[in-house]
Amino acid sequence: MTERVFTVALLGNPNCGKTSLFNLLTGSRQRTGNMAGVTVTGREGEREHQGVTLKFVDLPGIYSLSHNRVEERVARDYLFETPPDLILNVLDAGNLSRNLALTTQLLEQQLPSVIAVNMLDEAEAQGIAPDCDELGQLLGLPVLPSDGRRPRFLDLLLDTLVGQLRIPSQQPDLAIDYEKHVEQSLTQLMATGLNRWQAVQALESGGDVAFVLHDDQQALVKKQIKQLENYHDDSAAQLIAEGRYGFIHGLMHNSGSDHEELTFAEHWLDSIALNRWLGFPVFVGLLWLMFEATFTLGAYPADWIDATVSALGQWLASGLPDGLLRDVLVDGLIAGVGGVLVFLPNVVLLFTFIAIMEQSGYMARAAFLTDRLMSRVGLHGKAFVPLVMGFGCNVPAIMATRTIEEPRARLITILINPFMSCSARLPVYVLLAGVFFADRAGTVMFGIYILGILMAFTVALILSRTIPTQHDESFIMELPPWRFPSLRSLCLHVWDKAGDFLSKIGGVILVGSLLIWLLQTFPQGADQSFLEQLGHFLAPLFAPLGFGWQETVALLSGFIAKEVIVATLAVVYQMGEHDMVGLQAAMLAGMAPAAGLALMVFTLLYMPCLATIAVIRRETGSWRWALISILMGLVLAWGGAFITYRVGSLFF
Amino acid sequence: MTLTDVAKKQTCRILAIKGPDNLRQRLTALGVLRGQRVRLSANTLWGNPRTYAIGRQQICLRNEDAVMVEVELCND
Repeated sequence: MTERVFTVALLGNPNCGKTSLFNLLTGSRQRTGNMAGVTVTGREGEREHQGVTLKFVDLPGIYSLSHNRVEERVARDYLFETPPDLILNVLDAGNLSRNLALTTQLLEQQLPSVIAVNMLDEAEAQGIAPDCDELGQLLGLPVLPSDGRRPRFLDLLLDTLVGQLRIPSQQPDLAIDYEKHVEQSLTQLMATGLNRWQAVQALESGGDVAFVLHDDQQALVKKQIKQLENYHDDSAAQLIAEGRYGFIHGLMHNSGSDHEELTFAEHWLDSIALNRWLGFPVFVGLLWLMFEATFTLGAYPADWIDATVSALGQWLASGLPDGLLRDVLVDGLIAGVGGVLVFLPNVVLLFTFIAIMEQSGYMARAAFLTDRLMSRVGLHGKAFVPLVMGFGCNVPAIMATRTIEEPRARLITILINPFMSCSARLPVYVLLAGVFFADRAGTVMFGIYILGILMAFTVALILSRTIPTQHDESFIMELPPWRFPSLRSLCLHVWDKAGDFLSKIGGVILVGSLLIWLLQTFPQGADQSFLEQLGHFLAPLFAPLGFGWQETVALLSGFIAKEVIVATLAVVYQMGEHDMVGLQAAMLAGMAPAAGLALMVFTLLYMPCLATIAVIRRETGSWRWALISILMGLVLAWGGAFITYRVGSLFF
Repeated sequence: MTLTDVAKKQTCRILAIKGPDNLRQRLTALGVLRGQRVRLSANTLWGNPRTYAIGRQQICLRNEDAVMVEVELCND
């Protein structure tokens, strides 16, 4: 048999473990989040099995093929325009009925499918594991156990996929008996030339379908829907859903029980996390703990890296002859790159905490807890995940706002996202808090993050009053079950983020450090370097904030990427010293504590980095909002830093 | 009565789902249907939104939407 490439699309409800299974199937590195809508566009990955290349496509998690939401449209159009050779329909064993509703749609459409029953270990632990063979016989297609965390069922699954692709089994012909008025409507629609599944989908979706409906068919659909609405109090979609669930109920009756109750552990966790009085304080406490741990735990490995970097600097300094080469290596490269590398542990820890919150299911609960606050400023709970992701990096966070359907709420969420302090700004705070507020560093940093959040809310409030309102999208969200984060996907995710950070160090920051070093070293023999001249030229603008020319230069360099700020400070303050301790001492001597705090505030608020500006432009579709974001940031940063410096000077 | 009137530890049955089409469609897709048994499973400081449990599913709804779901108390 010649080698062929087959496409297999993964389809399933949100939070059914589809993306974990995709990771396992393809070994690809990408995020899996326990929050509805993390996968908005499909991802692809390949795997060889028995001489066949399987191309897996991970479609967004959806509940139905005929409800008009963004993810559902993406999946529906994909299946229609580029039909895959096979669909791998992933089901959550713990919530089989609801998951099977989507399966009935696939079967009605006679799309070639294989079913993978996922999360079996959870269901087994609760004693509600379905009998896959039984279910397979009832449905008339292969139903296999699967496990996104461990490869225990992987070979069987791959064998079946390849087997089905080579010799497809007979497609089962599923015809659900709907309510009699629905059946009458279907008959009328089918008389115009539609298939049964097309008629069902047209009624269910109100005529918004991927296939072509002629005007007269469209009119008939509308008429039938209206008629059904008159006969019953329910909509056509409700009646059809009742038919589906009736069919599924019959299936479940034959193949095992459908579990009703939450387990004791789930109940216990929710009774704390979602407690009316405790829930919110616990949430704030967890956030504080996250930042405190990021700072204190990260300090140990950071010290080791610092020691290694300064030892390397000294070794090079003593080993190389005096001259430009030694200077560029020691004062430019090692000072700049080393200055940022120190913060790798902090970045890794922060991303680990965010990933744990996401994968455990806490993030969705936090969205629930914060919805009221969010709605006060014109947002809703779903804005919460992108905002927290902003603590990691604003770029993916802004992309994650795609889950918000209402354009105005989405735009506001995008514009306030840069105020969520990304991990690139963390090094600046860690450095400054360590220099000026060594005893209270964790608290000061927590305060900075809180300031960013408050600023975001204030700006959101103002924007929601100024941007014209459309109808408010309601907040309807399913809470995912609590899940223990899988170590494998956690490690993959954090490794990925650490890789991003390191490649930035290798790219932007390396170039930035060298550029700063060049500007600082030349013209040789002159009184002032180019950098000093530039700094002095712009310094009057920043003098009211208590910044010297060094800080001015550092902030300018931060336009490229915020990590460069620390690298620049390291280069401009270094003056022959090779370690962070030296930098800290130099800064302590050169700046008032209030100015240090003002510098943190300025760094928090001022314009987003280049990558973020680019993504704002792309996601909002116009330069206008990107420009507004830049201007807004600069004005707020200057004002905020000014107030901080003036008020702070009274206390420190 | 509607979903917003359901107190803790009460179990109710859904009688009808009213409101705009997109709300009904969304709830239907999540498996919220007539005849199902519902409990109030969590509340927030502000009393809005709330989480309702249907079987093993937990669904968050704002009160503005929850009033569209008519329920009756189950006596068993």
